This record gives sequence, structure tokens and C-alpha cells, in this order.
Amino acid sequence: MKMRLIARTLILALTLGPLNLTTAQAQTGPLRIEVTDGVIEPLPIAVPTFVAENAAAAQLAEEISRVVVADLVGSGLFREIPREAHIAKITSFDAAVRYADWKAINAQGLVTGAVSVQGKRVIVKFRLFDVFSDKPLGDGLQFTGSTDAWRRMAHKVSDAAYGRITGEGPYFDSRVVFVSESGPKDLRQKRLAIMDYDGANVQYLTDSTSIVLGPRFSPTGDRVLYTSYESGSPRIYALDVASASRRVLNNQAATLSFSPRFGPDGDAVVFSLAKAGNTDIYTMSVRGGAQTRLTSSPSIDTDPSYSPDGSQIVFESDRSGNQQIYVMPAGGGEPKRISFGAGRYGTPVWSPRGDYIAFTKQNKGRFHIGVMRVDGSEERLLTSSFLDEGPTWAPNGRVIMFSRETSGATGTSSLYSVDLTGRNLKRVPTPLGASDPAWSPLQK
Amino acid sequence: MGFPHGIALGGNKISGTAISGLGHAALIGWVLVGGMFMRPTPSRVETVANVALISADQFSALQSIAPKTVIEPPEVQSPTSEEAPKVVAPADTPVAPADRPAPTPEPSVEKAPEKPDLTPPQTEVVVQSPEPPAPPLNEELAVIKPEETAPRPVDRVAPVPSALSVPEARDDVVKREATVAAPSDAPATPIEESTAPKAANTKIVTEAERVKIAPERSVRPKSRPKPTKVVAKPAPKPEKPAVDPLQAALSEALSGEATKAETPSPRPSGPPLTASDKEGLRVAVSNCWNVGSLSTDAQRVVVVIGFSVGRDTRPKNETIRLISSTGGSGVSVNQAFETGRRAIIICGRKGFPLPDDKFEQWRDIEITFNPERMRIK
Repeated sequence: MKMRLIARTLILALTLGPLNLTTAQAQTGPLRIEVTDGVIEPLPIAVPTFVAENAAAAQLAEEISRVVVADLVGSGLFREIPREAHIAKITSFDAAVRYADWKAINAQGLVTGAVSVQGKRVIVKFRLFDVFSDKPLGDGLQFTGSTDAWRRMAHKVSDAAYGRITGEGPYFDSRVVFVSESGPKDLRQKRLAIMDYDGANVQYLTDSTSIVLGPRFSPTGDRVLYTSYESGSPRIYALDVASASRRVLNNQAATLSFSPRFGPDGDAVVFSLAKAGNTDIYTMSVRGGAQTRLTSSPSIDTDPSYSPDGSQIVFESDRSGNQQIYVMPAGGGEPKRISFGAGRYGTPVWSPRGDYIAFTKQNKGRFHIGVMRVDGSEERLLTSSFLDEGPTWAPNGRVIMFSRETSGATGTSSLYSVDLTGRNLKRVPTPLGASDPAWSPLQK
Repeated sequence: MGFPHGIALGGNKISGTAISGLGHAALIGWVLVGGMFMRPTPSRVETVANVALISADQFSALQSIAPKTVIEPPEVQSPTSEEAPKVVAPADTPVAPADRPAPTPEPSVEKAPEKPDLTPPQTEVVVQSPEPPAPPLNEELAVIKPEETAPRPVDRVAPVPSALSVPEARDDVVKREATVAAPSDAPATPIEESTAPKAANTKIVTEAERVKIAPERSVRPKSRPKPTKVVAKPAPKPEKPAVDPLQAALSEALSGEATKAETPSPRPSGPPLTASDKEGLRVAVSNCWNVGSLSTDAQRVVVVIGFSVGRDTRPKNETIRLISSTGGSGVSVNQAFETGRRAIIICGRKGFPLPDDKFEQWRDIEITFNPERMRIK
């Protein structure tokens, strides 16, 4: 009898024990879940008109806040909540923020600001708030400048807000140099022009008496290299942006020099030189002096671009039979091909962050702007059209600008920008046709 | 085997057909002649209302006094009578396609630029704290320390803005704490509320009865205790209760949860959450997790965020915290955390879809935000 009892006990313990263990293992500690699918939408923000702290600032306050909205919304990462929907009104820069009113309209970010004008000087203050955290996002900032610099101050406000919310680097306070085009396709007139990144404040650097190509900013943004046919054959010129004065960089007889680009130190210039029917890549100092030949092949090697650390150069070459992208050490050496997809690859540009290389790809009669890792992996095409070419990176390495030409005899060329993700493709307004953009670094 | 088709009656069997025939005949006979023996049921008493007779003139007078209710027949409109919805005609001016810029005018003679002012706006931007107020221009210049070698051109826009003073803007909701009495040195004696003391006895005790309670004789004094040998005795073994081993095994197996619930343990009690419960929460949070404004670097960061939830299924925002992260820099981790926190707060505003009866299971939640499928590849 006793043995039977023990046996029954054992059987029950063995049967119910695991049950108990299973229940315990069902959930220990907090409830844990994993979220892998989110949404990709612009973040709703509210930018009430900046407070004019004196009568003279009324117009500037309105214009500055409009530029801030245009910057943030234009990045594609933000969506403005119309001012008509605002419940709370910001009438004083230091007034308490009623978070509940902004939550009610689903504003996740709030930018408030104030502008005061004292003579020719303007002071712009701003604060950024994380509405759903009920707290400011970083410290408030203030910029002081002359009244004609109000757009730059607006861009700086936008840069600060953009950086704090997204974590990306700034890029609104930058400029773009490009080739302004006018006239029919077969008789097109070209001249260098410079403008704010958003198309404002266009100014011309050269006249249209000769063809100009491929302007490139120096790392400090104060000089521009470009190719001009002023002498009848392509020559590289260096232009001082402030004074518009220029000088030819390479005047070697019986050669054609083109596709110049500054090195990250601002002194080295890498370019293509065609000599005796062969085009190779060379480097020299922007101050002049000896040239160093970096490639030596019977093919056309052109469009070189330094890596941000200056240790490597990416360029295009048809040494394999058609245009492909290669990477080589900055001092020359064996190039390594990194593009292997179908079609032809050209105009490679190293990202200022160093993580991607942007390029133009031609395949099956279409042109694309694309990016790939510096080893050629993860190739992605961001655009597709009749003719897209000449990518250039924004200072933060998140946005790419390029030129797009429409088909037909009356086709024109325009500037476009696209996010690295391939979203937010938009045209950059220019007064005339435009091509060959080059983004400046952030302004000092 | 079967049942007999008939009923035995006085030894004779009467078939079912005969019984049915008799029954029908009786029914028909009752219908025909039965009414003779039955009194007709009295008719229902009609209630008669007394009415007053009025003349036609009086009636018309009453009608004129009564409010007129005019019921107009609804106007039936034929479909053709409906007005066509107004459509806003497009503007006459054609909209230029987005990818085609306006035709560029033929340039006239494009002269060389007349020494344009190509520099950024002539502005020196001095960044300073708003308090104290901005000093006048000459003071600003005085602040700038001149370089020893050569005068450095003044920045048009200062590269690094200065921080404002600590934002004074704050929520005007004043938190008021509960009033608490100042602690005194002497420990406060707890005031115990008590019920009225019980009556000594509900029964009236008479003297006679009291006598009975008294001892009848005095107790004799105890004799002198005998000296005893002190012997260390082993402690008496506790008597084992007679427990059924089967019962013990059952109680041990089944009372595991209850025993552990009493002791502090991270294991929540109550009914477990189903996969559907968890999926509902996951989908809800997913819909609020907006990675569109994340930097490309932050989109490579996986963060685990923990928080507590109230019984109203809303998150306690002050408990939202970063538990761990993988990948990315410090800034990116912060961005990823902020995005996850925003998702929790926004989704939790109206409460998470969680079953009320399983509160113990979801009072603490940890969410892993993994943008692997969202990141740029």
C-alpha cells in the first residue's frame, strides 16, 4: 500500500511539475515585444510666426519663419502644421509653452523664435521643443547679423532644428555653384552661377562668351575650380568667389585638362589630362607647380574624386571596355574596380561622410543617379529619366543634387535634389536652365 | 417483437379504428346537440362613454380656437431638378509640368558680371546670450579678441551659435504636492478607532449564582517539590502530522504560483497574455513608430525601451527609459531612443490595446525597436 502511494506521488509530481515549469516560463519579468515595422512619414512640426520684438522686425520675422518652414519641409523629413490650425498663439518668446495645445494638433516639434531689428542689425532667437516630452530640445540659440543676412540666419535656425531632431548634420546654410544655361540646345550659352542651396540669391560668376563646365568648390567654399573653353580648348581655371577673379591652372601646350576637383586639404587638385590622345588622372597643387601622374593606361580615366580623408581617389575608366568605377590610392597605384552592374557608370563622387559613392548610370537608354558603398556593394538607383547626371553631395551627405535634361530639341536642363533614401525628389528653382551643380561646404 | 395493436377490454380486443370511430362520433354528436345543454356565454360588457352633444356652430367654434397643424406634403423633386455639384474649374493658366522648367528666354547679350557682390551677405553674426541684452555694435567688436599676427577677417556669420540662457518657458501647470504635516520629535501616537467596549456580561448574575462560582473549599498548599535529577533529555521530536503524501504532492505542485506570488518575484501573476494580445500591442506601437525623420546612422541603431503602464493602459511617461542599445554613435542612439519614446507616448495617449484582466502581465513593458527592415540598404 505504501509503495503504491509513493508511486502515485511520483507520477503526479512528474506530471504536474513540468506544467508548473511551463507556466513559469511563459513570461518572466516585463512584457517584451519587438517592433520591426514602423512608418516613414514626415514629422509634423509647428513653426508659428516668429515674434517681432519691435516694429521694424515685423516683416523680417515673417520672412525668417517662412524660410525656416521651407527649409524643414523641403528636406522631406518634416511636415508643417498650418498656422490656421494652431490653438496656442506665441505672442512672447519667453512665454510658457502650452504643450497640451500643441499636442492637440499633433505637433511633435515646435519651433518658436523672435526677431528684433536695431538699425542695420538683426537678432534672431529661437527655441525648439519636443512637444510630447513636454520639454525643450536643447538650449535656445541666438544669431546676430546684418539685416541683409537674414536668410542665412534663417538657414542656421533650420540647421539647428534639423540636426537636433534628425541627428543629421546641417546643410541649409550652404551654396551651390552651377552652370547656368540659356538658348537652344545647339547654341547653348553657359556661364557659372552661384546661389543659395534653395535657389535664392543667384549671382553670375562668368559671362557666356565661352563654354564652362564642371565647377567644383574648394573645401572652404571660397574658391571654385572649373573647365573653360575660353582659349579654344579645355583648360582648368581657379576662381576666387569673393572677387570673381580667376586664373588658369594648367596652360601646358598640346594638352587638354578638365574635370578638376579639390583635395580635402584645399591645396591638392586632381584632374584629367589628355595628352597625345590618352587621358589619365593627374594631381597638382592649386598654386601651380609639377604635375603627378596617377594613372597610366591607354583608356580614358576621368572624373576623379577624393575620399574625405584624402587617402583614396574614385574615378571612372573604360579600361574594361566600357565605363566603370574604380578606386585607387591617392598617390596612385593599382585601381580596383567597384562597379559590376549592367550598363555604364560615370561621374563618381565620394560622400563627405565617406560612406557612399554617388554616380551616374546609363542602362537601357535611361540615366540614373545612384549610390553604392565604397566597396561597390549595396548599389541603389535613386532616380531614372531621359538624362540625369552629375551628382553632388550636400555637406551632410544625406542629400544629392544633380542635373536633369528633358528630351527633344527644346529640352532644357534643370537642377534636382533627392534624399539618400530615394525619397523627396524635387526640382531646385533656378531662373534659367541649369546643369553641373556642385554643393559647397557649410558656410563659415 | 412489437406492440399489440389494440386494447383489451373485457377480454375482447377493440381495434384502434373502432376507438377512433367512436371518438369522432361522440365529437360530432356533441357539436350538433351539445349547444342545447350549454348556456350562451354573456356578451362582453360594452363600456359606454357619456358624451355631450354639441351643435355644428359650437364645433366650428372649437375648431377655430384649436391650433392649426398644417402638414405639408413633402416636395418630391425629380432627379433632374437636382443641382449639379459645383466643380471648381481649373485655372485657365496651364500648370507647367514639374520636371520641365519654364522655357528659358533667349538671353540678350550676357555681359561679364559687373563685379557682383559674390560674398555671403555683409554680416557679422555674433552669437550671444539674450540676457543681458545685446550690447551695442562697438561693444561687440571689442569683445572679439584680435589675433596677434594679423587681423582676422570678421566672420560674416559666426560658425557656432551660443546657447541661450536656460529656457524660461515652462509649463504653467503648477504641480502642487499634497500637504504633509511637519514631523514632530515625539512619535505620534496612532489614534485607534475602536468600537464601544463590550458589556461585561449580557446575563444578570444574581448573588445566589455568584456564590456558586466561589470555590467551595480552599486549595491545599502544594507539598515541597522533590529534588529532581537534571537529565538532559533530547528535544522531543515534533510530532509529524499525518499527511497524505499524495495530498502533499498535489499541494506542492499546484501551490507553486501562489507561494511565489507572496514573495517578491519578477514573474507576473495572473492569466498569461496570448499571442494575439501581444500582436495587438506590437501593431499599435508600429503604427506610431515613425522613422522617417531618423538619420541614416540612427536607422542602424536597435534600442530597447522599458516603461510602466497604468491600469488605464496608458504609459507612465516618466518611467520611459533606455534599457540597452546596439549599433550607432551616442547621438544616433539618442535619436533612436527619442523616436521610440515618441511612439510609446503618442500611441499610449488613448491607451494600449491590452486586456484589463491581465494587468499584472503588462504593467511593465520592454519594447525592442529594431529598424532593420526599415533602414536604407
